Amino acid sequence: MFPLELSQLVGSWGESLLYVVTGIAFGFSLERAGFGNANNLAAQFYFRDMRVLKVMFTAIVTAMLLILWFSALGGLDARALFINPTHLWPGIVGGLIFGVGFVIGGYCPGTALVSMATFKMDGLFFVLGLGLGMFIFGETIHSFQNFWDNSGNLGEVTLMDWLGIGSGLTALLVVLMALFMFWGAEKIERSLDPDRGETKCRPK
Amino acid sequence: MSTKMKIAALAAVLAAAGLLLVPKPDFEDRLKAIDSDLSQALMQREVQIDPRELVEVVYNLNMRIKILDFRDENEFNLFHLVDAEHTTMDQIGNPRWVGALPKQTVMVLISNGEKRAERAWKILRAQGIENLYLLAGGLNVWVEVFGSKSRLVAPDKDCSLEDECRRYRFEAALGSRHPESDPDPKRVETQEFVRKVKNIGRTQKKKGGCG
Repeated sequence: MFPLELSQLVGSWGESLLYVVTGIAFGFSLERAGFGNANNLAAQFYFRDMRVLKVMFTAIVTAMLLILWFSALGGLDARALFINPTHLWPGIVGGLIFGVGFVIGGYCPGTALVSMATFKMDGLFFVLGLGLGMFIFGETIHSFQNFWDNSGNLGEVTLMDWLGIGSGLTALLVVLMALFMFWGAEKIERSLDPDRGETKCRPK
Repeated sequence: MSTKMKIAALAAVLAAAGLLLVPKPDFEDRLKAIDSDLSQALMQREVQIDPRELVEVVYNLNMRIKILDFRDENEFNLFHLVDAEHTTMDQIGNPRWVGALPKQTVMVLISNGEKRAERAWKILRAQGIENLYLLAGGLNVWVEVFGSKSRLVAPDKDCSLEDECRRYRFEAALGSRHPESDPDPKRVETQEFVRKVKNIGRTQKKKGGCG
């Protein structure tokens, strides 16, 4: 039954190797999706290219359906999955900082590493800035530790808990929301670039 | 939208809608599935809180607390902690009642010993209730810790501290008007004990306090 006890199955070295291989595969997928290019990523914020939104929601819907179906069929012990505790206010503040960094630098942390791996200078500088930010955060956290730990701490809360409805209905609502957003994203892209998706012929 | 995308969208909707047809595990199934984990937590005494910690939490103005008392009604009428609510096993088996329990609140279950509170703890945990603790040793130990030796009637010798039977005895059924119902928090400050209640953050402030 999933999740697998990898260290028992393949040993700690094997487990680490699997993480490296998975990371490389993830990075490769990001690069192939065009996420190693800051122009593609920043275009999201100008509504010119909504691929980030589409890829993120596709990943969310795919993972959600796989987890719920595996769990329903008895192949996955959902209780063993880590649920990141919700710290509402730190999440909002962190999200704003993250968003500003994203729109200025054109990358999020993962895509910056992908960009650096393909020898892009902007990716390298973004990763350096990322490291500096982490260092400053680590050195100053004691001054806002209480806010970080306690502000809006909702614990391990899921959408199902929050809405007070079953997992099936939650999944259906998320899928419908994703489809609505895909449809809206396409509309916005087309309104900004009417030729989008049309086959462009060379003038004779 | 291309045909492939339409098919993918339809598949996602059908997969999500299919989950609505999956039968939900009933309460007994959930309890059976997690019983070993819950028993382990109880064995390792992860959730049994010291009486002094309960006093500390009650007087923590930044933490909301609900005390559920699972003893028989006559015992509850004889003596209970301030703000404790008499609760029955039937109530906690009712999903509607459980659904109305407040969120972001530390809940402490109490009985005379620990056995009945442990059973209640498992039932509530199986229904997904978080921040749930029980009083270590129950009210038998509570009265031993906070009871006034000069005022209390001698304890029932046939009932040991750990048993679910009632060891403490009072002369009158005063409910929560016994001094033991609301002990002086200053008595806690001088005592060392292991704190187990997890900080669930600043919650809505309780009314009252010292201005």
